[in-house]
Amino acid sequence: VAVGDAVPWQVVDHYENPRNVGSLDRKAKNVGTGLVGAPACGDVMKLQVEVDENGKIVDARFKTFGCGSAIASSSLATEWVKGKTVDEALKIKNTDIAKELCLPPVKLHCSMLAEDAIKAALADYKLKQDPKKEESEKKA
Amino acid sequence: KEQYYSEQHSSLINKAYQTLLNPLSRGLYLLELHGVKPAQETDCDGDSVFLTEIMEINEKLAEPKNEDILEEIETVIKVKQEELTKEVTAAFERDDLQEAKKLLAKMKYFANLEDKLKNKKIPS
Repeated sequence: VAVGDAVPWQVVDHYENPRNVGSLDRKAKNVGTGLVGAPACGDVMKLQVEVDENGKIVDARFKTFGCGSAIASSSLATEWVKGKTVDEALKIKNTDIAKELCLPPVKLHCSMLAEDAIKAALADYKLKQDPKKEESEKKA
Repeated sequence: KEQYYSEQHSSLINKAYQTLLNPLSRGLYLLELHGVKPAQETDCDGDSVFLTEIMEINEKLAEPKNEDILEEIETVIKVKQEELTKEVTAAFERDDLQEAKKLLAKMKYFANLEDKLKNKKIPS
C-alpha cells in the first residue's frame, strides 16, 4: 500500500465511531427517506431525517453499505443536518463534506453520494407534506 | 528484453482472460468498446424498488452468521446474476447500449454482495 493511500483519520473516526447509524419510521409523515446508489462502485446509502413542525431537522439516521469514505460521508451528513432547517440542509455541498473528511480525489464521488442522499431525503419529506402541491409544481 | 516482453504479454493475457471470464467486467468492456461510458451518476429513487432490495440483502448479510440465511442469500444473488446476465446479453444483441449500461450497473451491486457473502463464509 503506497503512502499516498493512507486513510484520513477523519474517515477512520467515522468508520470506527459512526454517528447516527440506524433507521427512522419511514411511514411517519415528518420523516423523509433518501435511498441512493453509486453504480460505479455499487455502494448504497440510506439517509433519513425527522423534521419538526417548524421545519427544523431534529433527528437523522443513516445506513450505508460501501467503502469507508461513503460511510464517513453519510455519517457526517447526518451530523450536519441536525439542527438545520430543510432549506439550510439543502445547501450542504459535497465539496464541504469532502473537505471536512480530507477525501482523496478518487473518493470524491462518496461525498457526492451523501449530498444526493440528503437532497433525496428532503425531497421525500417535502412530497409527503403536500403531495398535490408538489405534483402541480412539477407540471409547471 | 525477450523476457520482459514475454512477461508483459503474459500479464496482459491474464488480465484479458479475467476480464472476459466475468460477465460484469466483460459487459463493461463491451460497453467501452462501443464508446459508452459505464454509469457514473448517482442512482436516485428512480429505482427505489431495486435499491431497497439491495439494502435489504446487505442488512441480512450484516447480521451475525447464520448458515441457513447465508445459503438463502447465496441462491438469491446467483439467480439475480444469471437473470441480469441474460438480460445484458439480449440488450447487446439488439444494440440497446443504454439498457445494457443500466443492467450492468445493477450487476455491480450484486457483484459487491457476492464478495461480501464470500467474506462472510470464510471461517473466522
